[in-house]
Amino acid sequence: MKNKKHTFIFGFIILFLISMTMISGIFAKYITNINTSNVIKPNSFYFNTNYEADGTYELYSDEITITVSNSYLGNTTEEDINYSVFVKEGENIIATVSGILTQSNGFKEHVLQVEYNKEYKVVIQTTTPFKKTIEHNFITYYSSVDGYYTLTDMGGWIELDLYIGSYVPNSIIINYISALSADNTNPLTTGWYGTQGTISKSLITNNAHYKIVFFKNDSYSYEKVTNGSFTASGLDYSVTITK
Amino acid sequence: MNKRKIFNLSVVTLLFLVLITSMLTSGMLAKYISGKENDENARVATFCVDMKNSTTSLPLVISSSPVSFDVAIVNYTGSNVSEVTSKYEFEVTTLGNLPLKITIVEKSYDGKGTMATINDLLVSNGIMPATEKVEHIFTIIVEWDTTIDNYDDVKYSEEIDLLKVSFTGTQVD
Repeated sequence: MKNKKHTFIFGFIILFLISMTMISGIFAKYITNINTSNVIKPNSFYFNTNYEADGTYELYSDEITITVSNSYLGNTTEEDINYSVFVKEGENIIATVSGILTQSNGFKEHVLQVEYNKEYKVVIQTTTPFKKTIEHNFITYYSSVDGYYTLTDMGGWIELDLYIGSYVPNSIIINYISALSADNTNPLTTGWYGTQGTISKSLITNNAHYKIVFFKNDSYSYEKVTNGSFTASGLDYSVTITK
Repeated sequence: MNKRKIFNLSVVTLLFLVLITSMLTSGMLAKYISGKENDENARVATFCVDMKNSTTSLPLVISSSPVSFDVAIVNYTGSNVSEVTSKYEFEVTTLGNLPLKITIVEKSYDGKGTMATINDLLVSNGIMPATEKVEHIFTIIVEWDTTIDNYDDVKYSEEIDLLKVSFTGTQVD
């Protein structure tokens, strides 16, 4: 009786093992696992101005010129940039200007009219594609240093020395006689062929000397040196070179 | 127990052990064989389920407009079609470095099998029947999540993220 019981248990274990072996084969499945990864990056974004961020600058002018750019070290923003420029006097916003930098138009210049002897904060803020804020502090001063000019006969040519004082005029108009020819190798006088030339504001800065040479031609008969000064603040300056 | 009974029990035990050993060995030596026509060897059914990602340019560049790419689930490779019914699922995840909104939508269903259900970033319970070519295509759309505060902060302009698609295909029967 005892032997039969052992035989039964032994047989049951064997049958169990066989069943498990068969079932494990039936339930075997194919499985495929695939993992892919893609790096995601935003469009390139660059936005800067002609001043260093958070700096404080002293200007002898009643204008603040801010140039915004969408590039940096040759890299350009790949989308249009919408931005605004705020001029703040204390907590008050006294002027606002907005613009868009496109990929084809990568920079813009904004001339902000302010007053002398005041402190301003200029805040430049982009709205799309990213929000970036740049701030500059400016202190404006009025300076009474006027511009002047000097004419010197150098023999074969007349040398005009222009000194731009504290105030940068919108333009400087120079009239000269037909017996003189402007030096076309000078960037200031390139293309001057008649008897008048204009130097635009973008070519000059305040508190600086500029020398312009006028060559005498065969019809130049006698010399005359004239000195003068610039006094008309806010107006175009005019220099007239006569015999 | 007499000697005869001991002998009988030993013989039965030996036979069972031989039987089990044979079955185990046959299972270990079984090999999956890729389907080849006119193959005279015994083989198991061909299983094939694959995921094809349509992104060709890397990295994915996110602009103000959404960027998207397709994920195609198929049960064939070339002319080899899966001979067993397949079930699939996949999940899309990111590292979370960028404030992105990811959407999965059904793009193309050829009416064969059961199109998977889309639950946020998990696509599951897709069924592909055996012996016929099936293709289920999904589109994954990636865009800025404008509902997140400061999603357009300039700090994200120099950040990158990683979009992972984890796919599992399983034999059903």
